Amino acid sequence: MSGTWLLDSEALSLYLRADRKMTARLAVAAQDDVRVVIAAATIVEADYLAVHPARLDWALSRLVAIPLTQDLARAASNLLKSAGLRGRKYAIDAMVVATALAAADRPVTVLTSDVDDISTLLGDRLDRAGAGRTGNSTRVRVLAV
Amino acid sequence: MADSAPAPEQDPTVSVSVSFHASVIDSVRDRVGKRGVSPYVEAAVRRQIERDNLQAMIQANEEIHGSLTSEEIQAAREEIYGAVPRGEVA
Repeated sequence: MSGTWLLDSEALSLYLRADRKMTARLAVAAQDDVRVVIAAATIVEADYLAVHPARLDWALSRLVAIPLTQDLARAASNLLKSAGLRGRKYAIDAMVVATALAAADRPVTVLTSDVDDISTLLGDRLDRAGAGRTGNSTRVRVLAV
Repeated sequence: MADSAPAPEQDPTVSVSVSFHASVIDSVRDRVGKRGVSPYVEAAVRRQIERDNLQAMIQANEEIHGSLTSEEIQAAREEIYGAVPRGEVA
């Protein structure tokens, strides 16, 4: 097992819009036996306007969506507090980061269009140096899409 | 893998009969004991479904935008991991 990639809403939207670079990234994940998952909360905010509902349903039925448990929600709330952030704008990002920090298969990388906010929420658990390949790191890497 | 399992009340277990070669089942029992066989096999099958689904998602996009070239996949690899030779594992 080569770790986990967590797609945020923009990464998911890029896939749904059939972006070639996003498909190529998923091909790398497949080659390396990386798990590709989303946080359940991401389903709420992905930009579905440009996507046929049947294609959305098809993709979501093939992606692992990690459910938001009470523990994850509380962890997300604590991340917001630690980062000094509040409000809806950051709530789903915090759920994504909490999900990434708790993911079972390490190392974990978040694929996001919002590197700054995700990095802020990770705080000292941001993996700045690692290339997302290092063993059982408790830190999380952030990759811009 | 535990983080992908649906809530048990929504997804009851069913007993099925599946045949394995004796050597395979011996290896599983050696590893996890008799009572651990079902969880071990389920985790392996669950992961294989994830792999198959990821391949299906990649193929679906390739049908829309055309097949990826190995150069494109290598470029994505370098974007993700930095420029390291293919096959090298840190």
